[in-house]
This record gives sequence, structure tokens and C-alpha cells, in this order.
Amino acid sequence: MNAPPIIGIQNLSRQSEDGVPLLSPTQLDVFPGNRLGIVGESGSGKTLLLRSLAALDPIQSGELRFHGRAVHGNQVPPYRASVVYLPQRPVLFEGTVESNLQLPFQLKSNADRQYDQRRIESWLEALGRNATFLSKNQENLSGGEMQIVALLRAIQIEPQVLLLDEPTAALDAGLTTSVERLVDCWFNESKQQAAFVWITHSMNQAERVCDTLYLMDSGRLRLHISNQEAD
Amino acid sequence: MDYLQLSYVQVGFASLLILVNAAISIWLRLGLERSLLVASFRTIVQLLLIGLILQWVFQFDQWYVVIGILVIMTMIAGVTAVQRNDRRYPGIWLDTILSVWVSSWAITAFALLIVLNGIDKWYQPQYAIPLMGMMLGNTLNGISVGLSTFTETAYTRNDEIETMLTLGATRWEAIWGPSAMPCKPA
Repeated sequence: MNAPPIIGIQNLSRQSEDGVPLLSPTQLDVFPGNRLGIVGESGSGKTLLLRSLAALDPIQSGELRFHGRAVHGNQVPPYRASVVYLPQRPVLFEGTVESNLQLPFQLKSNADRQYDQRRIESWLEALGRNATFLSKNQENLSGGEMQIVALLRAIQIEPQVLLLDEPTAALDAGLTTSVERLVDCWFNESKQQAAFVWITHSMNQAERVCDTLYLMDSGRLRLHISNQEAD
Repeated sequence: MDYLQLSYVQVGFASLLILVNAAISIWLRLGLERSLLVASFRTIVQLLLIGLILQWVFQFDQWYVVIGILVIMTMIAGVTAVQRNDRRYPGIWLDTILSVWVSSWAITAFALLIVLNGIDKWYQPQYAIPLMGMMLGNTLNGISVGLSTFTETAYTRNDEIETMLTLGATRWEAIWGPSAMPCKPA
């Protein structure tokens, strides 16, 4: 791979307050066009790793780099706007779907971006929904619809990397397909310049949406299988 | 300056109220009588010691001694405001002590320099110390309630704050909603 990694972690490790290792020294580079999947048992450290990549948890040792430069201090908010973390349980704010989608553009880090309703409507169309969805109150959305809104809110600010923490774990097959389709739309629109890291419990889903798989075991990224190699 | 001197009988009458409370505690079997008596004894000792210090301060009558006493009072109020709160965050000590300091000193200065401009000296301890005591009492209560509401709200709305952070919010932007909570009427 010739292009430099968008994000990279080197010797990242973490332990609990009583000294139990939670993440063993870990290395991971995310290059443009990567579709990385991480599978592993509950408690194996997948979420911890993703939250560290999102600069949401303090890094005890090791280094997080964005385009080759260490991320710290005032660079963290714009970094998070470029490397967006999507949790398993989406959080929406009071108001309509549209007011939730407009929220990120009120932030300093996204000041150079503008809310594009047409683009949102084209994504909704790809999911078989029309523009009336935007005027729905968030209180009236199902869990799956909330996840779709959270995903739309994340991808519309054009992140370079999307960190997906089991986004379809609580969704039915139809909504799982919608989420996968939406991520695929965003990824294809980026013309191989963006990347994502997708945590999942489903090996089928990992093989379906990712091109490279990692197995996380006891806080260590142990295995690395390329889908192309497997084929 | 003339002061009203309290006789031992008058002080005894004031103490009767504690005994009434102790009697109610025994009657209702609340088990509070021992702590009431210990607290009363502690109060007497503390007031005697404070009386000795204030007597010396009043006699000395120098601005730097009065300022020193006010600084100590402010630090104690700041520390107490933090200790009344169960939840902590990095920087809570500096934030709280600074808040107590700025608000109480600003209002006391206003009272001493503008409202009571007829007094001989701005640092006259008979005015400066009790005024600061009253300001600190109110400031301490206000700030500890505000701090408690703020930290509790930040804890319960952790998900919302984190969501804002994931979208690129600065710490200030992310906390802005919850931080405004203590200012809103219930």
C-alpha cells in the first residue's frame, strides 16, 4: 500500500486501575480504502480499541497518529470530526430527525461544512424512505431508525474513517441491510479515500462488509485475514 | 465602640434550645442526643478560639492581618464546597475555589467600599470579617448546589456529551447543555 495511513496506533496498551491488562501493546494502521472488520468475544477489548482510535478514552501508553502526526490537545476535536465513532446504542437529541442531522454543523470543527438536505434525501431514497422521515420526532423512531439517523449524522460530515461499534447488534435483518447499504453508499462516494473499522459478532457480516478481518482475543489483535486471500 | 455584652444567663437560655432538641431525641428515641451534645461542646470550643483570634485581630487592626483572615476563610469555604460534592473532575478544586473567591470578594468589596463608605477604614475587621462570613456562607451554599447539579447532570447525560464529542465538539461545546442546567429554575 503506497498511501500513508489515515490513522495509526503504535504500541497502544491499557490496563485497569488494579493493573489488569485490558489492551496488550497493539499496532494498527488504517489506510484509505480499507474496510476492516474486528471480531472477537465480548470483553476481548474490541470496544476499548475502537474508543482509543476515536480518542474518546485516554491513552495510557503508545501513540495515536492521524496522517503521521500525533493527536493531542486542540487537534482532538477536529480529529474526532474526521474519525467518527458510532456506538452500538445511538443517542439522539430532542427534536426532529432533521434537527439532529443539522446539529454537527453548529460545531466549530465542522464550520467549513454545510447541511445538505438533498444529499440526505438521496441516501434516504437508497433505503426506500422519503423526505417525510426528516420531520419525524426522534421520540417516535424505532431503535433501528435511530441507528440510521445516527449513521446519517455521522457520514454527512464526510469523515475519513468511520468507527462502527456493533451498529447492527440489536437490529433485525431488514434494518441491518439498510445500515450496511448506507455505509456502502458513503464508502463508494468517497472513491476509496475513506475507510471504516467495523466491530461485529457476526462472522457472516464481517465477511460480507469487510475486506480485512482481525480477531481480537484477550486485548490483543491476534489474527489478520484478508478476504481476497481467503478467496 | 459599644457592644452588647451577653450575660451567662442569656447564653444559658440560648443553650436551652439544644437541651430541648436533646429531650425530643430521647423522647422519640432518635439517638441523636449524644451527637447534639458533642456538636454543642465543639461549637463552644471553636467559638472561644475564634473569639481569641478575633480579639487579637481587632486590637492589631492592620489591613494585612484582616486580608490574611479573609483568605483563610475563603480557602475553607472553597474546600468545603468541593467536599460537599460526591463527584469530582480534573480541575474541580481550582474552579470551585476561584468561583468562591471571585464572587464573595467582589460583593464584599462592593459592600465595604460603596455601601458602607462611612466607615473609618475599608478593612475595619468588625465589618470586613462578619460581612465576608455572610457572603461566604451564601456563596458556599450556592456553589456547592450548582456544582452538585452540574456534576450529576454531566454524569447522567454522559451519553449525550460523548455523542457531541464523537461529532467533533470541543469539551466546552459538548458540556454546554448540561453546564447550563444549574442556572435554569427547577
